[in-house]
Amino acid sequence: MSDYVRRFTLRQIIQHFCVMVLFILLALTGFPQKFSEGDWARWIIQTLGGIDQTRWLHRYSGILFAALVAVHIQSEIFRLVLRRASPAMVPTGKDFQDAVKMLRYYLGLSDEQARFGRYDYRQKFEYWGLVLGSVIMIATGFILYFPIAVTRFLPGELIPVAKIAHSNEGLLAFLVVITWHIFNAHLSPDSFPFDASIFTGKISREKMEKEHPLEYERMQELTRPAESSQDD
Amino acid sequence: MEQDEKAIRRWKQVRWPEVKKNSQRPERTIVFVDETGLSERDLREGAQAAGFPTDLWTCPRVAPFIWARCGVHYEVSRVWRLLRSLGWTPQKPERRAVERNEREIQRWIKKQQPRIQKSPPAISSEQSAANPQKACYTEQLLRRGPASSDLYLPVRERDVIEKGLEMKWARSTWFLLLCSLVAVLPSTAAKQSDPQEVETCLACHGDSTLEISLPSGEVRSLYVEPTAFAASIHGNKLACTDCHADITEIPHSSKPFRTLREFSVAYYEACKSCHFANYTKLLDSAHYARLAQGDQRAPLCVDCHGAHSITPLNKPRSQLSKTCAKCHQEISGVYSQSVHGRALLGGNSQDVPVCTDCHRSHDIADPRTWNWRRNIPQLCGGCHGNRELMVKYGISRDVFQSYLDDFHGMTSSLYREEKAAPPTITALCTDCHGVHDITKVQEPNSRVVKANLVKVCQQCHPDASENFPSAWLSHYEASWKQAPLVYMVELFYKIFIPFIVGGLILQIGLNLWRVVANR
Repeated sequence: MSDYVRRFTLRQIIQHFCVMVLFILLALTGFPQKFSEGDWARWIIQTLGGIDQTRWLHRYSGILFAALVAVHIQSEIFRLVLRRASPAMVPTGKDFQDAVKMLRYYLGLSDEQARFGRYDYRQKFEYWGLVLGSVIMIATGFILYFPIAVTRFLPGELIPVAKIAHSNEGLLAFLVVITWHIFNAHLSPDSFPFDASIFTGKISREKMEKEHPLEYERMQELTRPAESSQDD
Repeated sequence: MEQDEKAIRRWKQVRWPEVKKNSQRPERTIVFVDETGLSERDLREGAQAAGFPTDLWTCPRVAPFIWARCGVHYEVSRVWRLLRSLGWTPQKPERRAVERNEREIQRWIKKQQPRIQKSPPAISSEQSAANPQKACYTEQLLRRGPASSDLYLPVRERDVIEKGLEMKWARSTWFLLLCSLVAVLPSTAAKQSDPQEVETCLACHGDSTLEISLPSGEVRSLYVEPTAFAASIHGNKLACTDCHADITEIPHSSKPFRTLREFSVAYYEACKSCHFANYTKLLDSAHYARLAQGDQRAPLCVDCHGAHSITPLNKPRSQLSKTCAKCHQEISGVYSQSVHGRALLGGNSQDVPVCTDCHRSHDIADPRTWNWRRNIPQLCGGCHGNRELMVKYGISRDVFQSYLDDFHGMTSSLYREEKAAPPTITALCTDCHGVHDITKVQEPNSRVVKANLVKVCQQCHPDASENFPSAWLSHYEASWKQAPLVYMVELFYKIFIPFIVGGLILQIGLNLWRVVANR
């Protein structure tokens, strides 16, 4: 019996990697535009070759990001419909109970921790935050990219609305990532210094059993008759 | 003036440590010279070789020169530091009389001075004779006689002089002779005009029929109205020959000028000997560039300021705009119809800009260049960034800040740091509001009133539809009344972001607290 179990497929690994690279690129070219009066912002813009180049880089990254999100959503829906994937990411009532349970545990009101399935409520929160946030960012981003075409059909006030929403939603996403994601994947005592499972696709049997016990048990039941396959 | 505070803060962050270091350890400047790679040889070639109209190096010229040559941005006010480390110092021309005869002066110092130094013995010979200025005082004293004591000399020196004179008074008539010789030497320190000289000139030039015909056929009156000159700024300060320094004899020798204009151009540098700072500013101006090209219509000092009846041009302020109107009639007509011009000429406001407030007075730059264009928002922001002033005239108090926060304003402030004009144009204040024809936004014929705004947008965005202009919130911050949808979204995120991020951080904190408590 190997020490590791497979947790992510190659598709998921590649998609996460693309999101990571594009997110960094978008933040790097977006925030200097939002906070253009700061010295650091001016330095970044200068380094990238001026504001026009920075904007083009932001737009190209945005287009790639939009394509990635589109591919992800359509393939996930397709796979769900064809029953090739389990709806493990869909939030359920249990997630809310888990959240309350964990909060009680953190506050010291109980010593019982929630037992999680394939994805815990924190991961679901982050995933859906990312997907919904991306939809807002892409929609407002394209409004800002083509303001003339948009105002041919829609009122002009939409442009400043899109600007405010785009810049604030971006800030929110960035803040969530540097607090929540960095904490859960790097700084939390369970995963310090680096939870590499999204890059390798593997997770140690011990960690899987501790953090996702329900999923582990389900895997054990599935694999008991035939010990060979451990894919999901 | 938020912008200025920001600029000062930025300067303090970036430049102040450098400046502080420099002032503590002067040898650091040498390092900066190395950084710029500027060598003295570059400057020795002269300003003309670097593309300036004249061969004079000024700090405002050296700064862009360093930029162009070395790609290092130097503040104009810091250039002198660098120049000094190269061993260059400011050179202001010494005031000297045109009539100076150097050979005669040398001869006098050699032959006559030693004789004076010997007598009278009671006067400290070094003090009096080595300094012709003091000798002049001595001569004045002699004219008035020994009793005079109202000389502005330190008491001790005066005592010495008077004592010496009393002793020698009776038998030193030859000394008087020598002293009068000394007085012929130029004494340029005296700022008081000589009323006698003015009277001498007015004996002829006070005649209102006096005139001269030039070869071009122009007739020029040579009459100088005595009261006008007396009332002018120079009235009791300058004598005629301070400016007309070439007049040395009566009757005057003839001059080689064919036209009146040639005469005025030849006299162009007469003002320089006193007004040197403004003269150097002028060298960088668009006006001087025209003159340097040989265009004699380019304005000279006297064209704006007048010659004999010089009075302050800014009293009243509208006088400034009228002065420019002498040549720039068309633009002046447009300006007088603008919101600024009407307020000024109607006497309703002293806050509105006259020509020189935007274009400056002596160092008038060419407004068609990138160097000019990139500073336009700051130029308008000088007044329109002043919130109290804007409220006074019923203009949005965020008029400047709202521009800077917008897409155009942000782009323009980033473009501002570019050395050359960037490939794309971003709208500046004047692109929408116009330049000399700026009107009130509410007026029906205004370019930027809502009904006309789409045409302004279409200048750059040719496909813009009727909906497009409402994307612009008219220089107002979003508010419940002004732009409710924008305001609501803004408010939503103001609450939502702290709520989400605060919640997450709280959970992280609780998580860590529990981990610590478990140990």
